[in-house]
Amino acid sequence: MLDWITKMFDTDGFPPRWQCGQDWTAFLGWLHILSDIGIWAAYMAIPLAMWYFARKRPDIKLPRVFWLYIAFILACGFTHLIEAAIFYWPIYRVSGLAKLITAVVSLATVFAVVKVLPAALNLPGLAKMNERLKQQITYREQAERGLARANDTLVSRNEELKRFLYSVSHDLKSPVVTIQGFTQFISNDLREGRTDRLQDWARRIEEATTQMSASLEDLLALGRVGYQQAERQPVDLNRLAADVVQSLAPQIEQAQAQVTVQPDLPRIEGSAEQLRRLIQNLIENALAHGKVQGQPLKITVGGKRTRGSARLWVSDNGPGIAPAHAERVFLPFERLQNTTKGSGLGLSIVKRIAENHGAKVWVQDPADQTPADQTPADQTHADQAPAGQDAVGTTIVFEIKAG
Amino acid sequence: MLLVEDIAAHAELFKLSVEGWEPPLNVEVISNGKAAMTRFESIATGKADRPDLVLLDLSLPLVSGHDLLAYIRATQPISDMPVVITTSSQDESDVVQATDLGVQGYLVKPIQFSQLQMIFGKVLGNGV
Repeated sequence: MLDWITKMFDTDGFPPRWQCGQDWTAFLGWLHILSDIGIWAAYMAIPLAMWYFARKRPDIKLPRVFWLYIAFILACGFTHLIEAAIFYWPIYRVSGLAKLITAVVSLATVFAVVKVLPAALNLPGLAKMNERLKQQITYREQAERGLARANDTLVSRNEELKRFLYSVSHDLKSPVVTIQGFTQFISNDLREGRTDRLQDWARRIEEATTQMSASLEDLLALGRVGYQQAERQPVDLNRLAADVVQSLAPQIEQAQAQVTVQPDLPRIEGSAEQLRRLIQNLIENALAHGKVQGQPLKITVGGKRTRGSARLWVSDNGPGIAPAHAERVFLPFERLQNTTKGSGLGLSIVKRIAENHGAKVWVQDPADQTPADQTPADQTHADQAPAGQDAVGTTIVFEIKAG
Repeated sequence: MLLVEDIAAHAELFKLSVEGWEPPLNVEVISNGKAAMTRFESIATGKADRPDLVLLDLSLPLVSGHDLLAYIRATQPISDMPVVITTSSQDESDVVQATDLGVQGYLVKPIQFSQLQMIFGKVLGNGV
């Protein structure tokens, strides 16, 4: 072995490169020597930098080809160092061995690189990776927002339910209290042998029963309307409104009211059953609360198609609703007057039906001179103003999206 | 006394219940929270007579009974005015909220004659 090594470094028979050939100039010689040393230094520095990187970032798992590359570049460096040394120390045998090792390592590296090439080609670029991450974040954020919205809806539904239960218990209890009270009077009177007031007490009990039965009926209606998305069938509002007015004829006559249905109500899409109830409740609301002493009650059902939406409104010439209370009228059992007229649920049902249709319903602000049949951007039919003509009046507008 | 009650039938029931009392009980009915608030403001500023007792229904339109009670208890010189609440719900939170503000009693509807006498005896004492 020692012999072999000695043989490898034996320079007998080889002149140093300076003496090999006739035309070496100092410049050409040093050009070779310095360039080879420069290449060797660089080829040492590159693997050092790579090794430093590997040590500092143990989290990044480097592929085996990385280490092969370091070996390849070190070997290349050494062949250049030997080339420079040969100018003084002609170790051509060592040089040959070094070149053989370099060739083997280089070919192995080539083989490894070719092997990983397809996988490397499929690696997403940093930009693409970023894009994908951003997309995922967007999806996540959207989902979170959706969840928050659903949560808000649940919370407000819960609140609504609580308020509703309170109102129901209060409003259903109130006629019961009346009935209990007057029943007590009846038995007291009977005990005392008095009969002159019995008729009166019986009438009070009957009134309370009627009120309670109306409340229960509307409660059932509210339950039927439910919280479902309404079906989307084409609905002819003209026919629905005419039907409703006809079915309400006795009440309209009793209130000595005049109900006008404007022609050409828009065609919309929705649940005919629910929309029928909506119109009915709006007219009943006007009948119950629109009367002003000494003035005939006039109720108008109107509607108009605007860009992107359709409106339906019911207006009366009654006392009106103060803007401050405009939202409250849609709460269950919320009455603005001391009246036992109506069940107190009519407008709650209207609101629920609007929600089921993804539509809006509101009380028109009497100060807002924009008639209900117009959007502020579309004030070309001022002559059709349905409300605000006589007294203050109330106009309740239903607006639904339409294609 | 002042009766703040929005349901006409209940107000009438009450009036009929105390009919014929000796000495006679003078009952004035205010039928909504807003009107009651206006009245209490007048009493506080001396523009209206102070009643010996206020019978207050908790669920009223426009301004609730709780709000009215809070106003009375926070306003001089009517903060010590005797208030008895009436309610048709037996919701405990209602009663607790009211007793926190200080009431002289509460009556659950329908008001029993015996209950009424007892509370009135306690609150009005020998005043009436």
